[in-house]
Amino acid sequence: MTFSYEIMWIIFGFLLTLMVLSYLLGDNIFFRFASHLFIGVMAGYVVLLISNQILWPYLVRPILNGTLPGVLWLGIPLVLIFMLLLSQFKGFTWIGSLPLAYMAGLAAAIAVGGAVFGTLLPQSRAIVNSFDPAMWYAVPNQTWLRILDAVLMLVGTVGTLSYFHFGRKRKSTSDEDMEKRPAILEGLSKVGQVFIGISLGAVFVGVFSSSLLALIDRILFIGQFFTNLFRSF
Amino acid sequence: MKKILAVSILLLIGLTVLAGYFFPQALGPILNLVIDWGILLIGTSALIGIGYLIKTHISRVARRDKQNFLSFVLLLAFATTIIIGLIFSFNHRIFTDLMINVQYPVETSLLAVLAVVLLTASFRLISTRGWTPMSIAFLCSAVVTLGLDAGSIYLGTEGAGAEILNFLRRLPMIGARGILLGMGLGGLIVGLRVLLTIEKPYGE
Repeated sequence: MTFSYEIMWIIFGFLLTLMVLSYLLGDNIFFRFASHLFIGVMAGYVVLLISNQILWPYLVRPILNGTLPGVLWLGIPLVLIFMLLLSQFKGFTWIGSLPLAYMAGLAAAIAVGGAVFGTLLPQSRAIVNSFDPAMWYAVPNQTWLRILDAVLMLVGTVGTLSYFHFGRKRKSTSDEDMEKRPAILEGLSKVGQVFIGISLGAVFVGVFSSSLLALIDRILFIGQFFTNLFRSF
Repeated sequence: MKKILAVSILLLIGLTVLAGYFFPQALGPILNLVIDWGILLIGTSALIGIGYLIKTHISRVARRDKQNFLSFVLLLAFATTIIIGLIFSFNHRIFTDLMINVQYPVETSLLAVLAVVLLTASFRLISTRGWTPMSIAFLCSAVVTLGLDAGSIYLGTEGAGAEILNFLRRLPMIGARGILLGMGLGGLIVGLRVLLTIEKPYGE
């Protein structure tokens, strides 16, 4: 019984693998079949996950087992959820702006806090720390190497930042006016391009190595499947 | 009135969460409550999104559109997962087998397809964009990183050789730091624009 159950899943996995890999020959019905099946299963999984991990512990269980003040507090998210659901019907769309404003406020504040405390401050501090003389003299005979490292880090980071445009879209009448940037920024952005290219190259190799491993894994799986199949006859 | 109410909610929640970064002890319980409610709303939004997906595929099947059979497969897979998940628990063998035996082959095979797509895309990058400073740096970095990861580039474990190797390994971090700072600045600007109600993602 267990044997046939396991064999069933192996055949299922084999067929799904072939269907997805058939995309290498071009978009086809088998690939679409596998992707639709995958989306269906994952959508079902997400529904169950949200029900089990969010709605049950944060809403239903506190209502069933909680104290009266706790249940009363839950009235606020209940009203917001009701508004969100009601906004899906024609004529009530406007009512959804309140729960959406709640989520937007929460997301914006988390984004601001995360950007400042999680990225901007630690990354800037790391650059500043690389100019600490104590670090330069920490290893004998390598002082100039450390200084070069710090300067390169600063120039590369400023160059990479110069490559991005943080300004507002200008209502310019001519293309020439749009492209005008201070010469120093243009020069630094050229340096930044090189450093971005280096980083993307390294990221590319990382992703490529992982996907190559996945390809090898799938080829081995297909080979193993056929080996087992022929051995059983 | 509707607009004022929405802006008030946005400011109240946004400023409370921001204040929580500076006064974590005093605002901790309120912050937990606000975030828990936010999680509930985000969960409900995700359910509404999946509801729309299912509704679209049901109407495709009902209209007998071209390739409605694929929509039927999606609906069948969705219903099967829900039913199995409801009958058995999350940790039951049948449910975990279903998830693993669909998720693992599809995701690994998609990653395998990505290997081939990445390889062709990298060649296409050079042929379409030509030899720019970025494409040259990209190619050189890819070759050097591949050599370092595979152990083909070896300059010793001590002395100048080791220092050069360390330098080569650290080099991609410079651009990555700039990109991270750029993303952080972008996130900060967008967040502030929402909190200052310049952007209104919740509608008018």
